[in-house]
Amino acid sequence: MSSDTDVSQYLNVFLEETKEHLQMFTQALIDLEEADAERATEALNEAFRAAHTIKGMAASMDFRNMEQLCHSTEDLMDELRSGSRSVTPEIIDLLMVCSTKLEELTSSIEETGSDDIDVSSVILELRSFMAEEKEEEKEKEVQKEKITVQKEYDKIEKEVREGRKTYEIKVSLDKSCGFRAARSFLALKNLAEIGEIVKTVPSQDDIEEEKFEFEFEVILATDANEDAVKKALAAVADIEKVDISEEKEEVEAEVAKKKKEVLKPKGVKRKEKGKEREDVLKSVRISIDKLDTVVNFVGELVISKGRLIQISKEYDLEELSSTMAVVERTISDLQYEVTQMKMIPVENVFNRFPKLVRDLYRAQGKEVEFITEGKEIELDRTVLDEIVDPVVHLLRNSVDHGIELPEERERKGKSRKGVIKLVALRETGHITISVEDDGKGLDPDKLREKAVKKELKSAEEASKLTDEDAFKLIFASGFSTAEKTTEISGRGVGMGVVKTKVEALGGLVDIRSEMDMGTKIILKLPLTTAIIQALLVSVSDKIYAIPITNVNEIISLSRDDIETIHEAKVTMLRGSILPLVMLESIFGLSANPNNGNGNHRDKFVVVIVERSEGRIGLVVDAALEEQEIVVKPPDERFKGVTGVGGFTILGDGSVIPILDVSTLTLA
Amino acid sequence: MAKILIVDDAAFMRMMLKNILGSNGHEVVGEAADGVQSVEKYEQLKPDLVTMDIVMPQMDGIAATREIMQSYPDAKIVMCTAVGQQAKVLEAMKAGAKGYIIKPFQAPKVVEEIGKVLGS
Repeated sequence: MSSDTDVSQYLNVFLEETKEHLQMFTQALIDLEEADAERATEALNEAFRAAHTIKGMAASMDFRNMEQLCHSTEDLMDELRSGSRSVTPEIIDLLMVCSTKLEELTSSIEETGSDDIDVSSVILELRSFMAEEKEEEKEKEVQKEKITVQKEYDKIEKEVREGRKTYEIKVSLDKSCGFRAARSFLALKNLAEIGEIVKTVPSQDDIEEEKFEFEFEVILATDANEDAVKKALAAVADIEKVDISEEKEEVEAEVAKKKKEVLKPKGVKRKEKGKEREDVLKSVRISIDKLDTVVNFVGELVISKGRLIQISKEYDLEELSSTMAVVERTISDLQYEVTQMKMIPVENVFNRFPKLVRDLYRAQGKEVEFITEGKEIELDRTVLDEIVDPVVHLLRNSVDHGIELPEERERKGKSRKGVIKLVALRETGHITISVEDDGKGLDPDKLREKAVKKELKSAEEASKLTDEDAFKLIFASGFSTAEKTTEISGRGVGMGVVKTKVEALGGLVDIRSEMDMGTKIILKLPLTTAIIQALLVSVSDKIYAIPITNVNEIISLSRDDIETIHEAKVTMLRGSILPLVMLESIFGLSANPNNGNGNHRDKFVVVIVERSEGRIGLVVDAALEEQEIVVKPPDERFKGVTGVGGFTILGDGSVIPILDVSTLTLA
Repeated sequence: MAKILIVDDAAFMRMMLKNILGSNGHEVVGEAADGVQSVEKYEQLKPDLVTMDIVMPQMDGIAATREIMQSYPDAKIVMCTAVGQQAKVLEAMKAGAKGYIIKPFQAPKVVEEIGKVLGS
């Protein structure tokens, strides 16, 4: 991956959304031209919102031409919305020109990565439509202020008489402050909560209209002390400096001075639009590769942390222990932060699906309502990238094989429109992504038949499969139940690939289906792949790690509980057969399982793990502890060794295998 | 670390903001794409703070702020706004919002604002 991965990732979302909003903008303009008054207001709002959203995005991506064009467009539309200007065919024409220009800008960004197209002529035209500043308003304000001055005078006098303290507070806003009016409003609001604002300079109305530079003064009458005043202002951002002095007397003089100021014609300062743009963006984009390197280093730290904790326990020095506590916490925080940096919401990929689903069902004459839920749920970027293809496959299957044609659905008494739901759910330690449809469901008998025909199972084996196990046949490669393969999906390798991919990530696939009710396929995925929670178990003095995502429960069995059926060891658990795997024999820890030390004892610890094929029990000597481990990919020598998915290094420096339960063979 | 609900109709903006918040120790507990959703999500998640876009379909950010403030007077809402929206921002502050951040977002500014509002 190159270093601009992150940029391109934003860029795609940016282009996608910009196009979407541009379409909305154009459609709204068309509506605006044709619609009645009510719809026109709505259309105008839609067009405004679209331009506004594009502006915000363009600014974030640093596409200045696009931003400026949107800004001017928005200004004009704001006047249309407020009614200070009415919509004329000329204005709509002009807005259409803007729309075309925005399309050109978008294409240019898509093709060359820059919005280097001249927009100044369009902006000039837009400006020529704008309203002029009205002079008479200023005059009115001067009159109004004369009246308030008298009121203020009365107020201060009253406060002083009542013995409250009055403070003169001078607030200086930061030069980078955008929206000085809003910021000042917040400051005044906080002050009003601890006392009474007697007056402000400039007046509150002027402050609200941003008719001041960066400073304003407040006279506050309050019972609170100076610290309380400072505290009230500390909760407001963008305040550079606060000067507080207790107002003694000379109230009259003060008022008189102000009177003079008010009566003097005031130069209304022009708003300095665009000032906030001068600030350089203070964020950087980092490629996933670089983040991964950091994750790896943090992984090393986590390993060393384990070792350090052990050492510190051994030596039991107070200073060492307390320092360790800090180091431990810092490393945990660091690890959390780093992991978070790689987390992105699943909607980054979910948002592509509605169109895909729509294209599919329309091509087949089907009707589908596509619902997505849990789009805000976050997943490691690497995991997310890997599951795109599987999810696409599942969605295609749902449209192609799940949802019936509208007529067929009607015959079955269902609504003509099928429903496909794509849901992400956060659960402890993992997330699930499920694709569910209310289509025809899987026919277990057909699946059994097919398995025999394809020579995947013998007739006897097939007949013994439970319905649930029969559903899982679709994950076998070379298995396809569709009567004919459609153009896009159903080549019989799909579901097998889904399973392989998900399991490679340390996840698993589950399937539920009912005839004519629908099918639900659930992908259970780890949140991240680099550092995972694992259960450490011991087998013949060797330690193994089992990813916690796979662990279902831990039970203990006595020798009598273990039975042998066709040379396979099983036990009965709550009425169903649980296949057992003797880990020590799998890893050749004792050549003859009958001589293995595990069999000399009466008690066995069994870790029940979940996998796509169902649950199995791993017989171990002891379950040790749960801990965070750093996953290292399997060494060349171990590639393809079944049952081992990677390695990790423990605190004491020992290297232990991580079990890959999906490839463990039932021996 | 605060639990934050992000409200913005543009996924792009939510993504940017989320990256900023996430990498500054905050937890984004939910996202909403319009005002109606934001009110629902607020009730459901009771976040420590909400970042609220102003211009949105269905219900705009100011109306949503009013609605949330009515039921939860202690709610901490920070408006997300673009240049040229002075009047709207002021209206939002009057509706009860405790602060605002300006697009394009600058991480240090966002962090400062949110820190101030949480501290108040």
